[in-house]
Amino acid sequence: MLTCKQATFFISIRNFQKLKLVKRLQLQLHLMACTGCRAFNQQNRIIDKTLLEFHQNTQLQSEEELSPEKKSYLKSTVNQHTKK
Amino acid sequence: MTYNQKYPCNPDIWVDQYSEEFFRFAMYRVKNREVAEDLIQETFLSALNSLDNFRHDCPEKSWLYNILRNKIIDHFRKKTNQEIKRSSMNPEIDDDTFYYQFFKKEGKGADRWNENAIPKNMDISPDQLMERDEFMQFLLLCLSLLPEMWEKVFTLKNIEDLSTPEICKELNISSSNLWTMIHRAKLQLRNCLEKRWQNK
Repeated sequence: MLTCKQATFFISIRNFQKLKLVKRLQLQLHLMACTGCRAFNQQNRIIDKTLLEFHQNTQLQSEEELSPEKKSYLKSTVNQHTKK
Repeated sequence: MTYNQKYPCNPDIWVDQYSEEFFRFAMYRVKNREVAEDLIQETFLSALNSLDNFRHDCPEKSWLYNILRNKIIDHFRKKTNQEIKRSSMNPEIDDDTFYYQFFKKEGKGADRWNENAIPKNMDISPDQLMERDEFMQFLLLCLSLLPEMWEKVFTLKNIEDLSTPEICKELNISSSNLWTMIHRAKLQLRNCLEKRWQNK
C-alpha cells in the first residue's frame, strides 16, 4: 500500500513520466481510500490545466520584445541617475 | 563607485546587457507589455538607489534578477490583495524538513498526511472565465514564491514544455533530482494556493 508521500509523488510526475502498470494500480487503490490524496489529485489537475492554458496564451505573445524607444528611455533614465 | 575584482557592478551596461532578457522574463509572467516595462524600470531604479547596499558577493545579474523577481511578486501580491510574510519568501530547506511539514514523521502513520495539512478539494469552477483569470493570478503569485530553483524547474517543465533530458542538461541535475523538485514544488504550490484561494 502506497503512503501519501509516495502517492503525491506519483501524482506530481505522472503527466511527464509514464508510470509502470503496478504503480498505476497501487495509486488507484490509494486514491480510492484516501480523501487527502484525492483532493491533491484534483488540485494537481487544476494546476496543470491552468498552467497549460497559461503556456498556450503566452505562446501567442512570444514575439513580444522590448521596443527600441523604451530601451533608450531606460538608458537615459539610468544615466540620469548615475550622473547624480 | 567602488568595484570589486570578483563581482564588478557597472550600471552603464545594465540596459544593453540585461533589459531584453529581463523583459522576456517579466512579460512571460505578467503578460502585459506596459506592466513588464514598468517592472524593468522599477528594477533598475531600485537597484541604482540601493547600489551602496550591494555587497558584490554575487554577479550583478543575479542581484538584479532578485530585485526583478521581488517586483513581480509585489505585482501579483497587489493583484490578488494578498499579504506575503517574509518567511514564505523562497525558503530553501532540506528534504526531510520540507516533507515533514505535510506528512507524519514516524510511527504507524509515517508518511501519511498530517491532520493539519490534509488537502481539501478546491472550490473553483474552471468554466467561469472571470474566476479562472483570478485563479491564474493566484497561481502565478504562488509560483513566484517558490524557491528560485524550483520555480525554474517548474516553469521549464510545465510552462515551456521542455523534455526531461533537456531540463536536466540545462540545470545540470539528474532526473531523480528533477522529479523530487517537481514533487516539492507541487506540494508547496498547492498548499499556497489552497490557503490563499480559500481565504480570499
